[in-house]
Order: sequence, then C-alpha cells, then structure tokens
Amino acid sequence: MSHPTLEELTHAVHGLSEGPPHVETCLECRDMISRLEEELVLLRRAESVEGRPRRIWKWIPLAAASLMMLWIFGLILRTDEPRLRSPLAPPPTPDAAQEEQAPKPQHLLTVSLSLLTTSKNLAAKAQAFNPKYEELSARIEKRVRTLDSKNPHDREGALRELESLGLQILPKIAELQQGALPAESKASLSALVSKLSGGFSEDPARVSTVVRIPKEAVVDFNKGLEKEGVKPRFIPNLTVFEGQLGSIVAQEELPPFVNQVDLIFAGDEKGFACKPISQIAKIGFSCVVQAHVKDAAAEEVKLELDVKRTAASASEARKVKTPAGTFEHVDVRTLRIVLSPIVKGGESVLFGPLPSLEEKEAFWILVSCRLAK
Amino acid sequence: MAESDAESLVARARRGDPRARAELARAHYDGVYSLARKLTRDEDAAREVAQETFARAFGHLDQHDDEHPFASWLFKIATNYIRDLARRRGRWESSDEEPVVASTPETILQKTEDVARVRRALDTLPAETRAAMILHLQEEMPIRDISFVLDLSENAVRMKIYRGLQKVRALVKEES
Repeated sequence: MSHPTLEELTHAVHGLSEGPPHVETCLECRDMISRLEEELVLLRRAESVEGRPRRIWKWIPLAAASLMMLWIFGLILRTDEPRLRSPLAPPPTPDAAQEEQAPKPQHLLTVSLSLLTTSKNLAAKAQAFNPKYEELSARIEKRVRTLDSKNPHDREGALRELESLGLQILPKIAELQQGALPAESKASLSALVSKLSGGFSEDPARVSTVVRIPKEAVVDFNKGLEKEGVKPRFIPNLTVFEGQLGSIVAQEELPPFVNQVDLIFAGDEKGFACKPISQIAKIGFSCVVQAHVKDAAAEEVKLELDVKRTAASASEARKVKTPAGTFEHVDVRTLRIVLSPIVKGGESVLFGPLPSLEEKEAFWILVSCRLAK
Repeated sequence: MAESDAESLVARARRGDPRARAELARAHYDGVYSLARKLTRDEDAAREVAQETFARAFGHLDQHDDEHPFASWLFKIATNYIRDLARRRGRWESSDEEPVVASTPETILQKTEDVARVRRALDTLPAETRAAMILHLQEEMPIRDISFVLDLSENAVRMKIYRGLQKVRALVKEES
C-alpha cells in the first residue's frame, strides 16, 4: 500500500486539490492530515496577528464616558443645592448667592421673515451683493480642479474642504458642472452634493443653499427683486424677548373647497333640516421663533425657526358625490422647514430654493434680525 | 458581510449613494489595509494604498464585474497598485523561485508552535507568493478569486501557495 506524499496531503488540507481516497481508510494518513490541519491553524494565527489598523478611536467612547463621570462628580461636589452639596464644600458667601440670583439683561429682538415664490435663481442674485463671494468662488474652483489629481491625498483634502464650506458652495458647483469637467470630478461632486443634501438630490440646482447678504446691501437686493417683479408673498415681523417662544401665523383665504353639512333635528324631532355650509380653507404659513443673543455688541443672534408652509395641491380638486350633495376634496399639504441661522450685524440670510407645494415655482425664505433693546 | 448585501451596497454606491460608499469602505478597509501592510511592510504606505484603492474603486464602480466578489476586486486594485509602486523601486519579486526540497517531509509543527517564528518566515516570502499566502490564509479566499486578484492561472496560484508553504517549513526548520 503506497501512502500519498506530503505534497498531496498538503494540497488536500489547503483545499488546493481533492484529497486521495486512500486517506479515508488509512489511520497513518489521517494522523498526518490532522497534523497538517493544526499546521494550517498555526499559519492562519501567524497571518492574523499583525496587519490590522490600530483603532485608537475605539477607546474614545470609554474615555469620553470616564470624563463625563468625573465632570458629574465634580459638579456634585461644587453645587450649592443643599441636597446635592458635599459636606466638604464651603458654604456659599452672601455676595456670590446674590450674584447668581441677579437677572441677566433681557434683550428685545425683532425677527423679520420674507417669503418669496419665484422661478428665478435668487441665490445667484444675492451672491452678487456678497463682497467675499469672488474669493469663495475662486477657492471652490481651485478645489474642484484638484478633484482629478493623481494624488489621493490631494483629492481627499479637496473634497473635505469643499464639504466644510457647506451649502454655500452649491451655486458655484452647479455652474462648474455645466462646464467641461472630467467625469471623475463630476461624479465626486455629485456624491458630495448628495451628501450635503442628506440624500435629497445630487443636482446642485435642486438643493437649497444659504446666501448671506450684508446689512448695507439688503435694501439694494430688495429693490432688485422688485424690479424683476419678485414680490414677497408674506412679510411677517415679530418682536420677542430673548429666549421667548414667539409664533407667527400668516394665512390667506382660498375659495371654499371644504364643505360641511349640518343635519339638524328640530322642533321636538318633528322636522329635519339639512344646511350645507361652505368653509374657507386657510392656507399660508406659520412659524415658531426663538432668538438667543450670542454677542450683543456685534449684533450676533442665533435664531431657531420652525416654519410650516401649508398649501393646496396644484392638482384639481376631486369631486365626491354623497346623498347630501357634491363635495370637493382637495389635497392640503404641509412642508416643514427647520432653520437655525446665526445672523450677524443686521445682515439677511437667504434660504432656498425650497420645494414649492404648488409645484410651480420655488419657495425662498429671507431672514433678518434686529436688536431692538 | 453577506455577498448579496455587498452587491446591493455596490449597486447603491454606483447610483452615487454616499452612505453605501461609506458602508463599503467600513466593511472592507481593514482587509485592504492588512494586505497592504503585509506586502509593503510599512504602515504609512499601507494607509496610502488603502486610500488609493478606495479612491480608484469608487471612481470606477461601473468596471466592477459582479462575477467576482467586491472584496476580490478591491484586493486586485490594491495588489496592482502595490505592484506598480514596487516595480518602480525594483522590489516586486514575481518570478517562481526554485522549489524547496526538504530532505525529509516534515510539517512546521514538527519543529515549532511559535507563532512569531512562523510569521517571520512568512514575511521573507517573495511579494507575489506572500500576496497569495495572505489571501489564502487570512482572507480564506477560494483559488478562483486569488487567481482573479493576482492575474495568475489557478494552477500558478496553487503552485505559489504550495511553494510558499514549503519555504516557510524549510525556514522554520533552519531557524530551529
């Protein structure tokens, strides 16, 4: 009986070829196979020991949790609340207690919103008033040119920088994408736009951008809009104290499209009346505002705006026949826009184009804030 | 990651979904880096190879043939890149070395169970043989896929793996 060679057995154990049938019945060969299997395990262990990247960041959550615990512990020791106060901490001095209770100066702010509906590209018009736009534009162009570099570090760096500039890059990206760019650069830009828009679209012309208009240019910008026939649909203002929640509701009445029927059993149930009532649908927009002053001297204010736009669908109302008459059923939709801009030195901030509920023209929001007190 | 999951991620990545790209990079970065680290024996170079591999892959996703797993395609890009770099420096050894003939057939275990010693022996193998061994031992890749990654016939891959193994056995014996 001839045994297979070590080479044949090695091939079988490593899956390089089929094992010879002899092995099934030979105890000696089976013993050799099991030694070769152990050898394979040893080789795999030797291969897997090194080579994986170091993952220092895996310790970051643990480190952060430890720091958080230390901070909470420190807070408990430092607090002046009797229940949480450490017996080791000194009692608060009267001056310190008074200082803590002294009210902070309360600012009064006027928040202005302008809601515009137009098919014109307002972002491009607004950028013309931004003195820093040329500089920004050149920076974007330079980075876009680097996207087809052969050096991967340069490409990644350019993408990182473009991403850090945020939504303000979109109009320039749209312009560059229309020109002659290498296919790879175009693909990278589309992926970046998609990322910036949370997957909404990879077309920069469809994704909303943000443009800052300096205080001194706001009047000219508004005049330019007027000349072009772009009139604001709503211009609500609201004056609120810092931190106070304010609410703006601007609605318009549309022709009746919701009907109500009142069925009335009258006169001790001797009669029955049917009164069709037309209701006026109120559509428009509402906004909840909150403002926080970051730097009063620089008129730097952080705004929290929760805007809801309600409109009827552009499609024709559906007619529903019932024994009480024919009713029109119109789709009413709401679009919610959450904004948290930091407005500085009386500037205005333009957001858009936002998808219009009427599906005709884009919708834009111009925000400004003035420190009244 | 299951093959079907990987392919659906690749399909989404092809459509430009950045989350799918991030997911693919997360799933395959370690394997690509590890292969590069062992072949270049340099952490910085391995990081560069890994970055370049993903940049090339994401730039040419349309060229990925679904017949081969996505991981194999990434390894192929990485190996080609390392090969180009090494050839420029004259450090890529792909010629078949002379077969090692042991005086008596012995396995590694007859001489040592020391993992570090085995690793040292593996590290001395020529680049192409080393690549075949890593894909075979670490990634447990089928011969068909290794042949795709290294652009070699399946028989050539079998030969490289076996000769690599013989050399490791001989080196371990020599060191003992």
